[in-house]
Formats: sequence, C-alpha cells, structure tokens
Amino acid sequence: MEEKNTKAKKKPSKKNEFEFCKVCRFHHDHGPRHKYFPRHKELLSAFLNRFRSKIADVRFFLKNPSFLRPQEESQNRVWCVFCDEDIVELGSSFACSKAINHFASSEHHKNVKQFLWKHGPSMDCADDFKISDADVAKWVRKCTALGNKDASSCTGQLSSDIHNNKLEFERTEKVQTHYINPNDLNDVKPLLYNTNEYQISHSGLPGVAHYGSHLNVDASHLPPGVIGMASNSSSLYGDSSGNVHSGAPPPWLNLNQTDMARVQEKMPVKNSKLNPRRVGAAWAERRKIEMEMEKRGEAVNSNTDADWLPNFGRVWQSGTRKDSRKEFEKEKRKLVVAAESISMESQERKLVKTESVSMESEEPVQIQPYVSKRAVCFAFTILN
Amino acid sequence: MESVLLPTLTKKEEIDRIINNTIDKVLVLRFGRISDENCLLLDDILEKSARDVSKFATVALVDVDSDQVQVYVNYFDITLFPSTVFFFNAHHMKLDSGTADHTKWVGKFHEKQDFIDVVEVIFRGAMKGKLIVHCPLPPERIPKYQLLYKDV
Repeated sequence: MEEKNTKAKKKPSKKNEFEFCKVCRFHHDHGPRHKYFPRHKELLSAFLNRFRSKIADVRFFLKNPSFLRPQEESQNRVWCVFCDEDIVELGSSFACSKAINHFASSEHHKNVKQFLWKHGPSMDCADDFKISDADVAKWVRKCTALGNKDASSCTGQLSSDIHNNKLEFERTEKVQTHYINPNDLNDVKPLLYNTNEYQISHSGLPGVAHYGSHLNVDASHLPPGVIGMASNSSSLYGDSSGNVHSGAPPPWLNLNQTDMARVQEKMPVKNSKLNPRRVGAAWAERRKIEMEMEKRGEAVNSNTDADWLPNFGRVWQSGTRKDSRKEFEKEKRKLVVAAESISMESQERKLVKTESVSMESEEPVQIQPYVSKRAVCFAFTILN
Repeated sequence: MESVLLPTLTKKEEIDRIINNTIDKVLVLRFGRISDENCLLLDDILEKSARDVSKFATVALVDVDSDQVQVYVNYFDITLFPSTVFFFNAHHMKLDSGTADHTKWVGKFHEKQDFIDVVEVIFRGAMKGKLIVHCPLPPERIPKYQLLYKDV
C-alpha cells in the first residue's frame, strides 16, 4: 500500500513554465531536463558545429592577418549565437579584427558559459568558442608588422581616393591581361566569386586569401585596386583562351552547364523528403496523382459525393473514427426516417379527413358491437 | 463583412473541396457567425496570421447560419461558437489543451503568436504521424467553457 502511495505521489510531474529553446527553436515546458533529450542533443551538436566552422574562419585570420578593404567590410560579418549580436567589420583595417576582439572579450566568455550551462550537457567544448588573450597579442604583433611593411612599400593602400590611384596607375607599366580602368576603382565591381557565407566558410575563403597573398607580394609595382583583381581573375578563370574582342564564349556559359547538371542531380533528392509515416500520407499521394490527371484533362472518378464526410473523431462517441462516422450516419438515417414518418402522418391525416368527408356524403357508416364466436355458439346451444 | 484574405464557405461542397485540395498542410476551419464579438476577434487574429503560416497551413471561415453547413455542425458536435477544427490530409487532428473537448478549439486566441504556435505544433505532430497533439500554450491563455451533453 505504501509503495502504491509513493508511486502515486511520484506520478504527477512538476509543471514548469513555458520557455523557448534557441537550439530546437520551439516552446516547451520540460524545464531543465529538456537539455538531456536526444533530439535536443542532436540539434545542439549541429548548432555548435555550424558555429565552430565560423570560428575556424576567424581563427584563420588570427594566424594569417590580412588587410580588409572597405568594399569587403559588409561581407566580412559574423553573427555570434551566444551573445545574439551581429559583428560587422565597419571601420576596421584588418580582416575579422572586431570578431577576434569580440571572441576574446570577457563578456563573450561569460555568455558561452551561460549558454552551455543552459543548453549543453557538458562544458568541455567551451574553449572551442573562445579566443585566448595570448593569441590576440600574437595577432596584434603580426598586424603591426604587416602594417609597417606595407606602409613602406605602398602608400594609400586602402584609400578610395581616385586622384591618387589614377596618378599611381599612370606611373606604372601597362598591365597585360585583364586590367581594370582605375576610374572604375570606386564604382561597383563585377563579382569575381560568390559571396555566400556558406561558400566562404567552406571553401576556405579563396578570394580573400588571394588578396592577402598578392597584396604582400605585388604591392611594389602595381596600385592597390588592380592587384587583387588582376591576379584573382587570372587564377579564377585559368588559362584565358580568348576575350570579348576575340569573340570567345563567355566563361559563365561553360560554368552554367556544369552548375545545371549539379542542380538537376540535387533536385530529385529534395522531392522525396516528406515523411512517409505522416498523417494521411497514402491519401495525399493518391490525391496528388488524381490532381495531376485532372490537370492533364483525364477524367477522374471523384470521391466527393453529397454524402462524403471526412475522417473525424466525435466528442460523445467512443471507439474508432469509422465507428463515429457510422453512428453519425445512423443518426442521420433515423432523423430522415423520423422526418419522413412525420410527413407521412401529416399526409395520412389529410387523406383521412378528405375520405371521411367523402364517405359521409355517400352513406352512413354502420357501427356494430363486437360479438365473439363463443358467445354465438353458446346462445345457439341454449336456444336448442 | 467578408475578409479579404480568408475564404468564407457556405456550402458543404465548398468545405469538401477545400478539405480535399489541401495536401500536406494544416487546414484550419473556423465555425462561427460574424455577428458574434468573439468570432470577430478570432477572425482578426486569423487574418493577421494567415500569411505567416501560409507555408504550412490554410485558413478558412465557415458560416454556421447557412443551411447546407448544418451537416458539418452536427457531425463535428459544434455547440459553442466560435469553434476551430484542424485537419491534415483530410484527417481530423485533435488538440489536448486540458479542456473537455479535444476535437476542436473553442473560443478565441489571446494573440497571434498563440495561434501560430498551436498550428505549428499540429503540423509537427501530423508530420510525425500523430493524430493528437498537446497544446503548447499555458493554461491561463486557453479559454474555459462547459461542455453540456444534450443541454444537460
């Protein structure tokens, strides 16, 4: 008895307040035990892996500092999931400088700890999302060294001054292939590579890496705006077999054919992603086929007649949904029968009234008392 | 006053058609009268959130004063208005919100986000194969009512 009582006491679980889980992206009232649910753990590992890749890109720039051009400031941004803020490199001279400073700050460290305490089962991976002060100090030293080196070789590297750039260009030798007019330096330039964040993080920033390396090497004899463009364009397109003047086909046509092939390969995978065990899956597949046939103009046997009813579990019926539909149809038939009987009765009453009126006009009805056969036999025997 | 975004259904064929044509999306059917204040408040929330949930839900209004709709009013055991019934792939989805009636939502929603949360939970449950889901809203946001059996 006591065991039963204790079990009964244990059963009703504490009701927690509803809260929003940032990882699973939904509301729940599981309380602190939500972080131990397997689905949450899976989503958390995916969530943290995504952020790890972003931090890996920032660490790349920590080890290899490079200059940040003003045109690329808007592309070089990171969303910190722990602090819920966007780190934009506005006004910074080196790539990811603000991001590096942010990841090294004490506030970020505190937020990482708080996040892992709330969502993650273990705090072991906290160091993956932090940058230590020692690394930051090394980076600062590398940046100053880089700054000094470039200051001696090339002046006004990151300035967007048309006049100076034009003068420098006029002084230099003619660039042979794929040179760009210095007057266009401050205009919108054609994209040489996709600036999609995913591609940048996963391809290891080829474009920006090229900029960094070429800035260091070729800064002496070429103006800044032209360096990356010239080297990058040649590296991206490979051997230049022709150009607009020679009438060669544009490179994006060739690229498009390969891209289309890749897209077509990917497409069929996406269509079959719906869960086959979802509610009404078989009905949905049949209905889709029927709709396609209707579109094509073929005749389809429509199931929706006047008596069709959807699958519904009623309030006051127990049993399966088919039983509740049968019960409803029974009730409907009873109502119909009752309505018909009422209408029949009313019609009969009308008929009787009319008959009685007609009968009275023809001859009077003879009413006789009921006499049983026994009474008739008895009377007969007495008389005899 | 007809809503610009949401279709109002007055015939059984229209209801059948919308149930049969909504595939892999939650169908939200509101049964009510435009003369009712609670119904108008509910309609306002439905109209405002219809676009937000349009990728995984379709919302439609049913006028209960129409004669042809009485079949469904009886079949769904609707006695209190407004009532909202949920379907997924022509199957009825039940919602356990702690009230006496799990087959429908009776009354209005407190705010837009509540409605979106409920529809989302129904969609997630339906995609996993569940025919009944738990309401994600706290009890104070769920309208209370008394369910009577044949007015008893």
